[in-house]
Amino acid sequence: MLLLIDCHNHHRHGALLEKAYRFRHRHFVDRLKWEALRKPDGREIDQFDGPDCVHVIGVENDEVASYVRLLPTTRPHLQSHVYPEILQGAQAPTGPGIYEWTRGSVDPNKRDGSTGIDRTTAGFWLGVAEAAEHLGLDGLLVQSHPMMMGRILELGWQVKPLALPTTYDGAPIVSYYAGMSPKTLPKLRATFGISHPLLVIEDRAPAAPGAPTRPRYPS
Amino acid sequence: MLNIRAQAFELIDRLAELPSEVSLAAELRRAGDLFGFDNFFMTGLPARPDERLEKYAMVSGWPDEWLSRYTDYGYVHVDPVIRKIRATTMPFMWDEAPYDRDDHAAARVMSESPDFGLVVGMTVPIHTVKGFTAGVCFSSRHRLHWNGETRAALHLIAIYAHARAVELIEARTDAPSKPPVRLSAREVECLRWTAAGKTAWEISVILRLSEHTVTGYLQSAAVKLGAVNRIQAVAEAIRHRHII
Repeated sequence: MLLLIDCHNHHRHGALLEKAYRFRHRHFVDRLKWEALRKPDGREIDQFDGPDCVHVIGVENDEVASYVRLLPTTRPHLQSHVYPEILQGAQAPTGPGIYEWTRGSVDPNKRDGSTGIDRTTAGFWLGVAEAAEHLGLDGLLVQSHPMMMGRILELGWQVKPLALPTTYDGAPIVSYYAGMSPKTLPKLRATFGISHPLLVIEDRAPAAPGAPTRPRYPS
Repeated sequence: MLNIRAQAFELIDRLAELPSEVSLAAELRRAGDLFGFDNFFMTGLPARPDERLEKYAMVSGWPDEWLSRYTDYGYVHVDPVIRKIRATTMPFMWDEAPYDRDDHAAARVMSESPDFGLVVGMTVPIHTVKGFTAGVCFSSRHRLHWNGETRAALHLIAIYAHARAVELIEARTDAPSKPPVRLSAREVECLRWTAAGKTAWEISVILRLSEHTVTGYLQSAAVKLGAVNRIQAVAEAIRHRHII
């Protein structure tokens, strides 16, 4: 299942968010060695993880298999408050129609390295685009390894570089704006061979205790 | 002072508008003056040792004599630069591509290339979502070294030039002149249910067939579509509009 968690339903998903913070720690600190994010309790959580951020979580067998966090650019976000220097003097676009794509990760054990078109990876890529569509966004502000930029371009986003590739904390990084176009979702669906929406967007009404949540799309 | 970043961004914008691979090669050739390279080359990497380079060469800006020599002698299979493309995700200079001193084939490629005007070079590895590996190379006949900013600019240019080349090649090979793939009604039905997330067993219940039969339909559809697995078969079926 691929679930969107935002200000409307985060209070219902405390346990899953806990798993997501631990998944982030395992991925970014233990696997990718982003030591600046290391936490003694094994939960990778920062000042941006509040009710305003949007989590897109791929859940398989009750465990987190993929994760993306989207931050509103109308509030402090990474390119404005953590490493504006990666922009090398350029101005990144911000506004209500732009969120920042952060902490994108897929459990490497779920990934099929030879083709890259396994279900978990497909859910990761489609989840971001479906979330952006649901939020009515024009596009996303992204900073990533330059290889990811090529992939996002390949997957039908309208990618505009904001700066030349550089390094941050020893790792290659490039800043860009990925605009959504009418071709973005169809291109993603065709690439991964998934014609139906994957992202579960729950009802906004608060759930009665014990009531099952109702997904927007049948699973 | 020339603003490398602005020049790179302008070039990237122009690449998106180019109508053909020939115009893409011409645009890159023109860019050489600005960014300090004499030649460039873009190629996919052969998956097997018996394959020839022509099948994969995407956009060529190599000197003809070097390209034919490189192709005829199968240099793509011994070139240390090609080997390094498979092993890395970041651009590298050719003198950073390692090979054993007693690897005579590799040493020959590296020692001959300067005679054809490829004195120093940089290669940008490309690894696509679908698992395709390619390299975009820039070279100069002068013993210069691009500064960090120019290398970063060439890195971006390579990413966009490759993406545009793939788009143009796909548009050309998808042209209706290719004989259309014919799928049976049952194959289409099984693909449609697979696209909706159903397993072969679930489809067998829905269509009142045996699971074995459903698997057979999906396999024959995959073969016709030139796909290696079920997910790719569905992707190809959508791309060719067999299913929505």
